Amino acid sequence: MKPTTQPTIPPDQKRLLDDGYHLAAALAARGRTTHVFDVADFFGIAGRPIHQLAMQILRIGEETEATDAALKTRAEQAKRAGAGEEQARADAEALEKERTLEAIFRACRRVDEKGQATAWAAFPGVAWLRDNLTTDQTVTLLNLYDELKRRRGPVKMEIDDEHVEAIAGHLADHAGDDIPEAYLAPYPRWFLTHLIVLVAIKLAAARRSVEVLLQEREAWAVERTALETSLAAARGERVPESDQDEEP
Amino acid sequence: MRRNLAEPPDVPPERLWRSLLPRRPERRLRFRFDVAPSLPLFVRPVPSAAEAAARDELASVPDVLRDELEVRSLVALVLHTPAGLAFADAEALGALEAHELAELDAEVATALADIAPTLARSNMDAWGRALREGAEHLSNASAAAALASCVDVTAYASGREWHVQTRPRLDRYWGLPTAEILDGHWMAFQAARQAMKDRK
Repeated sequence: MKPTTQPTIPPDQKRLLDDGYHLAAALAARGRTTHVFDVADFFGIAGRPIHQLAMQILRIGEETEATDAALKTRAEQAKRAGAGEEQARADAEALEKERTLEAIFRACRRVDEKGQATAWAAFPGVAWLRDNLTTDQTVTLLNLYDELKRRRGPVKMEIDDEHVEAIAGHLADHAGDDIPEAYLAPYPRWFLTHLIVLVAIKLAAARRSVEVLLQEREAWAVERTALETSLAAARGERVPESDQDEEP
Repeated sequence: MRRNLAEPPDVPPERLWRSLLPRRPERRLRFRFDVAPSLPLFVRPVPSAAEAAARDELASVPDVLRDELEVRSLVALVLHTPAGLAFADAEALGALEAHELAELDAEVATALADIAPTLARSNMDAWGRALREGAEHLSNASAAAALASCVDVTAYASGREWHVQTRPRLDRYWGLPTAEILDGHWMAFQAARQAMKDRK
């Protein structure tokens, strides 16, 4: 018979059980969705190469912590910006980058000699990541995180008109810089395919609208000329040469 | 989080009106947590003032965090297991993964839109029309009459004229303090009053 083990509930979660919140306690005590990835070109502290990296799916609370920490860091960085403090504080892109680093720090775990994920952070800290991680490496880690979520199971990702408009507007605003690449990096391929198809549909619809508007404008111009001609004729005025129809 | 105003669910008006009559309308969710796949989850609405108060607590939270915290806060307020509230507070929902919260939020929002219309999130005109039709339905005649009768009537003279004033007493129908009355209760009551007035 297979031995069964009683799950150990840490003291802070025992409190939840005592309060009757069994579900919350069980959720807090459950295992993490983790996967070990083989990686290349990553270096840890003192330049030691990292060959394997464990990633865990963040919990909502950790995501909130990451955002909170990013906000604090941005506030500190903004203070140092002197006269540009307000502008620096409102810089959404910088906040997003900071939040990404905070999330990566929390998601990446060290792998032991046996190839098992440990509870230890893979990188020394967020400041270290900020100083040492290239944009390409950040994108790679985000893609691995996305891969991990796919492995966990299907994730419902909705893409509606409002979402498409927001992404398209954002990309158009930053058409001349590197932001679009970093912005789209976390999205899976199928999402990008749908996005392009939806943008293409919008473009085709916009072109058709412009065509219809131009045709309507032309028709209105012809109608207006005809009306002006008949009005002038009714008043007994001489119709200007340019507005008269040419006689065959 | 700003959502579109919810239309009444696609059920016959008489059933829609009746669905608002329980003291605390309830909707069982399809969603299950992997740690407790057999544990049923329910949504039980709270008065809109309680929802608003929970949002007020997040007023000073930065914009980038507020939407998600509002979702967590609402879910914590209304999500029940058979033993009672599922989560003590919004913080306890921090143990979920993002996709779980997204699925849960979608089901909770749909449930609330269906069983707990409010001025803030429902298309009041559409709800009002449907509820009035429902209150007028013969199957609801006695319930609508009972609900519509829950008023205090005061007659008073002003000069040479007599006036009649009615004051809603929904506490009599639901046995709840007025502060615990849901927006949906008020809507069912107004529909019943209107139906009785039209019947005369």
